[in-house]
Amino acid sequence: MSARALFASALVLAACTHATRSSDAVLERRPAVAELKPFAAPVPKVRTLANGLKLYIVEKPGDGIEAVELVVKRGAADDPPALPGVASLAMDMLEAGSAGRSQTDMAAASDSIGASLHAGAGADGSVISGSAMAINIEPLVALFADVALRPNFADAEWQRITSQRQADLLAARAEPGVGAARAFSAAVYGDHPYGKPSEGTVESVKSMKLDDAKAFFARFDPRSSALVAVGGVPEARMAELLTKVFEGWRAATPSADKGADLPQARPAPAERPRAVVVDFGDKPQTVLRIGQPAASRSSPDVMALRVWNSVLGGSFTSRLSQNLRELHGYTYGASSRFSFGIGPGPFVAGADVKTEVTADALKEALAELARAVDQPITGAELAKAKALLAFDIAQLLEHADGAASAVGQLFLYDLPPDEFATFVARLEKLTPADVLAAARRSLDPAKMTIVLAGDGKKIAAQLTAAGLPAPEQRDVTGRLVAR
Amino acid sequence: MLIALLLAVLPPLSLHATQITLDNGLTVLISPDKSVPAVVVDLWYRVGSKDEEPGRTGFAHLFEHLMFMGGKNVPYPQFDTIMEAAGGTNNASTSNDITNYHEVGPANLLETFLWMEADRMATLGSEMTAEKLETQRKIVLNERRQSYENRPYGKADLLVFEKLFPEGHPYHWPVIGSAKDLEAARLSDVKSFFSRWYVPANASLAIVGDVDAKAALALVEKYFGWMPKASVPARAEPPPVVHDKEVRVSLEDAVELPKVIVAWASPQANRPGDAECDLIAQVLGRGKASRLFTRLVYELQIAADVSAGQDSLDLGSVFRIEATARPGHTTSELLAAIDGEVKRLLDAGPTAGELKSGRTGIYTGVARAIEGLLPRAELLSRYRLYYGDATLVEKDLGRYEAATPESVREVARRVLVPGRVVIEVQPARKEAVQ
Repeated sequence: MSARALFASALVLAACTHATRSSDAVLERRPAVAELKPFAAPVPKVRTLANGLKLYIVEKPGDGIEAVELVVKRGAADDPPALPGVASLAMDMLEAGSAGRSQTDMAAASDSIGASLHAGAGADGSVISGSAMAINIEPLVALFADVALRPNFADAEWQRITSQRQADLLAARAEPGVGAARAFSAAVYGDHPYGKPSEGTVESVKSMKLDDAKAFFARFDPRSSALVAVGGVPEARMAELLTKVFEGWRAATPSADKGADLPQARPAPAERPRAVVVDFGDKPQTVLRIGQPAASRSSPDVMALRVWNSVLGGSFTSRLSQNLRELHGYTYGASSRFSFGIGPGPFVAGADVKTEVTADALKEALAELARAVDQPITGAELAKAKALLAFDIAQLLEHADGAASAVGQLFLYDLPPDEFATFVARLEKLTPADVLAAARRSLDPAKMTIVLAGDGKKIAAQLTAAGLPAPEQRDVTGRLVAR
Repeated sequence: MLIALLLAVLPPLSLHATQITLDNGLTVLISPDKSVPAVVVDLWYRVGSKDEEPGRTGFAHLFEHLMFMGGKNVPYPQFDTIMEAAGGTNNASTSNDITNYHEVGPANLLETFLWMEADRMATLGSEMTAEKLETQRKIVLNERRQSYENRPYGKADLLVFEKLFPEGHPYHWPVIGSAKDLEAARLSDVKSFFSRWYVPANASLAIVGDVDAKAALALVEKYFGWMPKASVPARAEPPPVVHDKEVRVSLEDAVELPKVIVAWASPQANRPGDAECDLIAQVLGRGKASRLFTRLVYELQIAADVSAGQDSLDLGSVFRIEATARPGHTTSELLAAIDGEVKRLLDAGPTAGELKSGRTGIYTGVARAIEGLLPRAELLSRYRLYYGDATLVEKDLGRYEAATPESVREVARRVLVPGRVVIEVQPARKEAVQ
């Protein structure tokens, strides 16, 4: 049980303990907050091997956990339009046996060194990640390379993986949160690659062949990939180790030295506020999501949009959280976020609200959205957002695998190695006017899509009573049932 | 083969902290770490749902929410607004045994965090109002809906403790409590719970991050040292739970796939047998080489997923195996396969190799906890609680080193007995939905 739902100096104050020991008067005075000490954000050292593979290495104090990651600019957005899920299943196959060894043998080898090894595909790219105690770095890298470069793609494993995926997809149909996400993507993005479920559908997985997964993997190319390492192993030694293991990697089918070729053009947002209902029968809560396609990671507005989002729904004291949770008691948590991609990823605000107050909560959320593109944020809100975002960067190096993942994004989105080091200075320059202008360029609350997943009958009745537009109906997989 | 030859011997893990108990009984643990410019303050109160009064289930957790409603010097909503304005965030959690509150932020917020925690420890009760209670009651009921009522298999999760621990046992009810009891909570309950449990001698304060230990300790003295000593009520330890026969429950839920949960009463946290249960969980259910995954998911392909775990608790732990069926398969098939693997373990015990991997997994898990500021603070508090010394990581890991295939088998035979709880969840028949 937690109190909060998810969101994403010099301390030399010599306290005089004798004067304060016997009194609670010490509590009456709010302590001063000393100036922040400047901190050095990680800047990866970048190298390019002869085969075109880039190495991004960050040395972290301590000798605990070492994390490695291979990022490939091929992802679910490359799935054939009729076969969503190919990239994701291909990555599952990387975890299903490599270098002639079975899935079980590979897992046992990984367990014997306490390693964590995973492969997965997002829309824009695929990531193979591994971590273990630094002392096991050599066996970790050897195993990791087998997983990333030498998967068996065995027929028997393919049968298991696809059967397992169908079961997972079926199980997910009972989850209103998943149903809402599917309906949102399908309604907002349509035929754009971001409109397809990256994990596939029961039907697409059934009709997929092992050759489809192999074909996706065959497009992995060192020239559109990067290796990331973060941890206590000295940078030069890590580079030597990774070079030795990965310099022989050649692409199966040499392809163009570029990314996923996603359309950069934004699909036209809905012309009017569109409500979509996903009926789950009798439910105590409605999963409410509101949003639209927003901006790509390459947009110059990204930093300002992050500030804007922090104020709207990025922290506990944000406007959505304070309004829907604290003031009205509609929900356990309300938040919002941008997902910046190679293409224009979505902005989504949301909360899981008590069924009976669905329309009330929706009205409050829409009012907050309208206000946030109508009036500039206050100076205090701007300062808070800057402090929170700067601290995210300050914390980057706490966990090796978290840092490796953040560094991998630099490669995936063509960002400079000093992105984190220059982050705070760029953040500090923003004004409330900059933030408002960026929000207005990317968002139009009057045209956002509203998804409501829950008790369809009760939701529809409330929407009608509140004078909101009649919703279209989608099923739990996002398919349009009725307009 | 190559891997086995390269396998290094794992180095001892080290964990450093200054440990002091103030005159009023507050435990203080400070572990400086300059690797990131951040600080974590993690305050544990030794109170949880097990300490609730009859008719007030869920109260410890509801109280946790009330701790954010403001003390005398940090009135609502300043606890959040002050720290967020400077880049800090906070959260809290409640379990059967413990309620913990933590702040994370830039290192210059240490004094602010301590001031705010001290204010609510000293003054929350006097500032509490019925209106504040109402606000958080609504939010907690929403949390109950979101985490259990509206979540697939959530209702089954709520049943595990109720069925495993008999009526009158402090673990009989779930941490989230019943909606009826949450509705019944009164202002007087809040005040008495606060004065009873929220005293320095019942708390442990851990500070981890970019701090100077001496300066940090002086700040702790400044904000907490003046508080008077108050005694902590004694608590009776209930007798161990024994089931002479299997308790079986079947229920329907709005899910697509059947699921089975098998739960046994197991040795208390840090008591003999607890570490062996962790190792049994590793052998049976951790990862794709584990016995249950190999049998149920990989070979028979009757399960979509399977897991095993030891939930270590102060008054009696829970060892649990859960499996979700693939389409067309039943909970009976799952249960038969689980029973087959359990029997194999009881008959022959784990192999030496399985045990070694299990230990390495646990060891690496501890190393991962030491890497993070908040996880390290929690490790320190846990070690202090169980070993009287926050830095006794080697004593913790020594429990796993001492385990042998024979001792693991012996504990498995004692714990994984026919007297257990089996909960079967079946998909509810659907009405015609239009």
